[in-house]
Amino acid sequence: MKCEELKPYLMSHLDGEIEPEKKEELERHLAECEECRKEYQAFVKLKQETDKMKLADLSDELWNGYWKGVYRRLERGVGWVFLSVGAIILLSFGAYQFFKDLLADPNISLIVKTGVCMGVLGAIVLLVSIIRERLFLCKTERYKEVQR
Amino acid sequence: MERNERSARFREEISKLPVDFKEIIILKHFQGYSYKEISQMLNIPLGSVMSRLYYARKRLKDNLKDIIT
Repeated sequence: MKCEELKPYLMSHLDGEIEPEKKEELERHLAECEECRKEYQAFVKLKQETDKMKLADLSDELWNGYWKGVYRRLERGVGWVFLSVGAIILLSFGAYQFFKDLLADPNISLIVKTGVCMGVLGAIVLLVSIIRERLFLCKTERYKEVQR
Repeated sequence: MERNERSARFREEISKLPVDFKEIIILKHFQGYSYKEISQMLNIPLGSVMSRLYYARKRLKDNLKDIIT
């Protein structure tokens, strides 16, 4: 294992959240690599110091910065939902109008109408296929069990 | 350096961190959430929790090297 690859695992080891097989691998590396060992020891000291501090030690200013981050994320989430719903409504309405006009227009030949309909149908099938694939991946996603 | 002074210095350095780093330090160190909980709260993969925490702590460690070595 290269030093750069194991850096994140220094954290999970420090916080006692490392997987057993990774722990063994990391400890083997730490026994061999002085630089990583020193860095890990410095992180241990840092954690010991911060563990002595309490929530009350944090200033209001610091908490404000933290909550601003939380609100910003919530705002963006709500914004994306509204934007997506609006876009879906507009696109659906546009598609409905387009097909209504296309099928009703006597100047457009049957072959063109058929071609357009087949093309759009193909695009819908592809879209549904991609969405289904994403949902399947989501179901088998490694960290799906993560819950607050 | 006395304990109060050390705490004040830590507070100061934590408050100087970029928002993403500050946030993950608070969630882990002061609120005690697990990696899985943080992963879901911030909507980022577990690997990103570890790497963000690494860079946040590294920045803090480097800024505090005069008092934690």
